[in-house]
Amino acid sequence: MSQYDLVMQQIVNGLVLGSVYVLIAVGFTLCLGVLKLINVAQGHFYMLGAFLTYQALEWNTNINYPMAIIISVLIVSFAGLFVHYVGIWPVQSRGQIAPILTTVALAFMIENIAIICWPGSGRNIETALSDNVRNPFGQVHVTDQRMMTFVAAICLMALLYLFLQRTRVGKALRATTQNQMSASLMGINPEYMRALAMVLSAFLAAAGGGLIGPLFTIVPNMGLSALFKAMIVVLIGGMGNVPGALVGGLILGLMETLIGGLWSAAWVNVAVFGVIILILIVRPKGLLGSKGI
Amino acid sequence: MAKARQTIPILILVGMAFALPHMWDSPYYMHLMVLLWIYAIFAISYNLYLGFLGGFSMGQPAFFGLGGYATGLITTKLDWPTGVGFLVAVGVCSVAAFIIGFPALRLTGPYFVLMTVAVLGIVGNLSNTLYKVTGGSSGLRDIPEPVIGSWNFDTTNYYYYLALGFLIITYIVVQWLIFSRIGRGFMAVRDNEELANSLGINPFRYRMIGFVTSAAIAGVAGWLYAHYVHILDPTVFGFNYVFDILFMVILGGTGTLPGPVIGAFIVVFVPEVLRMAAEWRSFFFALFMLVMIIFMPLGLWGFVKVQQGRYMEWKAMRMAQGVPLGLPRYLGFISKDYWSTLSAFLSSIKARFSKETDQET
Repeated sequence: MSQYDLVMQQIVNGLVLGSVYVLIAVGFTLCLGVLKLINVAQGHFYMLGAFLTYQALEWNTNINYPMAIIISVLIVSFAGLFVHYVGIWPVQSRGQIAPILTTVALAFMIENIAIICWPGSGRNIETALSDNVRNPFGQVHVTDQRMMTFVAAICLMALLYLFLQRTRVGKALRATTQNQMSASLMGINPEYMRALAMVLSAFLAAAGGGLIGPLFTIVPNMGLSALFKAMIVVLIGGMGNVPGALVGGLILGLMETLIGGLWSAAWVNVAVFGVIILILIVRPKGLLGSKGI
Repeated sequence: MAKARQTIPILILVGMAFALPHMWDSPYYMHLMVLLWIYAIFAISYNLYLGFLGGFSMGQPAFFGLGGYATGLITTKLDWPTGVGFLVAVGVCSVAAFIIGFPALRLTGPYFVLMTVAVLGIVGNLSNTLYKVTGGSSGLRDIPEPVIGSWNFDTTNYYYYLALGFLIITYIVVQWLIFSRIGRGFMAVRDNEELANSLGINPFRYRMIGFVTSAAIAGVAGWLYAHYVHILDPTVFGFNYVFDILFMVILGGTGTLPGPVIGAFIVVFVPEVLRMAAEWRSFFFALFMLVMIIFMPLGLWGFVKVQQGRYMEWKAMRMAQGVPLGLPRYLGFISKDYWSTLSAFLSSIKARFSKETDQET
C-alpha cells in the first residue's frame, strides 16, 4: 500500500466517521439553538440508538437492517420526549446549570439501564453489507456498509435542511431560535418547538448510532465521548449553525483519522483538544461563526 | 448571645468530627470519611468559582489531577519530601490556572464550558500519552505518605485528622476570602458585571483571582488524595469527577459556605445506602439526584435557610398577634402551605394539558 493509498484510505474513513459526528452534532446544535441548553444525554441517545438497532436485529430474523434502524429511531425519539418532559421542562426557567444536571442524571439512568440490558464486553451488529468490499480508487477498501452510512447520513442532513428551510414547522423552529418572544407573538407555541427540537435531536443521534453500529463494537459507555465529539463539532461549526455542523463534523472525522493513521493513535485526542483550545483563542465564536439555523 | 448560638453548634459538629475515629471502629467507613473530607475540599474549590463567580467550569478535575501528579512525580522520581510536594502542587495548579485563565476567562456561556472541557481533555489524555513520565494507564505507583516532623500519617485514622485539618483550614480561608473585600467583588461580578465594572471592579481581574484560588485549593485536594491512595492513574482526570463535584455543590447549596460539605456527605453516603440495589445502584442514585434538583432548587442548605427564614417570619407574626408559639403549630402551618403549593402545581399542569387539547380541537 503506497503512501497515497494510505492517505486516501484515511480520508474515506474520516468522511464516514465525520458523517456520523455530523448527525450527533446537528441534534446538539438544535438543542443549543432552540432550548439554549447543553443536552448531556445527546451522546446517550446515540448509544441507545445503536443498541436498539442491535436488539431489533436479534429479536426477529425477519427484520432487516433499515427496518431495525427505523424501529430504534422511533423508540429513541420517544425517549427524547421523555427526557424533555421529565428532565428539562420542570427546570427550564432556572438558568443554565439545572437543566445540564437533570440531563446528566437522566444520562446516567439511561447508561445504567443499557449496562443491565446488554452486559459483557460490547456487541457487534452484523449486516450483509459489511462483507462487500469495493476498491473505487486504487487500493482503497470501502465496504458497502461504510458507503451506506455516509450516503444515509448525508441524505438525512439534506432532508433536515429542507425541513428547516421549506416547511412551516421548520420555519417556526428557526424563528424560535432567533427570538423566542417575537416567535410566540407570531402564534408559535415555544413549548412545542422545544419538545420538537428535543425529539429531532434524539432522532438524529439515534440514526447516527444505528448507522455507525456495524462499523465498530458498541459499548454502553460510549455516550459521553460521543457528546464531547458533538461539542467539538459544534465549536468548529459555530453554535446553532446547521450547515456549519456539517463542515465541522467532516473536518473532525478527517482530522481524527489522518492524525491516527499517519502519526500516532495515542496523540489523536491530545491534538483534537489542542486544536479546540487554539480555535477558542483565535476565533472565540467558532471557526465558521454562529449564524442561526 | 447571638454569637454563642451560632458558634456552639459549629463547635459541637467539629468536636464530633474529631471524635469520630474513636467512636466508629470501622476501617471501611473511616476510609470513606477520609475521601469525604478530600472531596469536600475539592467541592469547596469548585463552589468558589461556580457559586461566588457564576462561572460554569467543567475542568476542575484537571487541577485536582495536576496537583496529584505534581506531588506524585516530585516525591517518587526525585524523592523530595512531601512538604515540598505540597508547595509544588499548589504552585503548579496556580500557574496552570493563571495561564489557562488568560484565554478562558474572556469567554462566556457555552464557549467557556467548552474551553474547560478541552483543558480537562488535553491534560487527561497527556497523562495517558506521556507514559514514560507518568506511568500511563498502569499508574504512578508508590507515592509515599506525608511525614511532618516525627509524625507519619500512615494509617487511615491519622490521615483522617490530616484531611479534616486541611478541610477546616480551607473552610476558614474561603470564608475569610468571601467576607473580605475581594469576595464582595466576586459577588458583584456574578450578579451584575456591567455595574461592577462601572464601580471600579475589574471583572477579568476578579475572575482571575477566583479561578487561581479555586485551582490552588483543588491542588490541595489533589495532594491529599495522591498521598492517601498512593497511586494515581489517568482516571483522576475523568469526567465522572466533574459530575460528582457538581452534584455535591448543587445538592448542598450553590454559593453557600457549608453547601459543598453537606453535598459531599450526600454524594458519598447515598450510594452506600443504595448498595442493596446492587446493579441498579447508579440508576437509583441518578433518580435521587433528579428528584433533588427538581424539588430543591437551592440545595439542602438553601432549603434549610429558606425554612429558617419562614419560621422567623411566622414567629414574628404570632408574637405580634399575641398567640403562644409552638413548633407543632408551625409544622401544621408549613404542611398546609406545602399542600397548597403542591395543589397549585398540579392544577397548573392540569390547566396546561386542558389548554393544549383546546388548541388542537
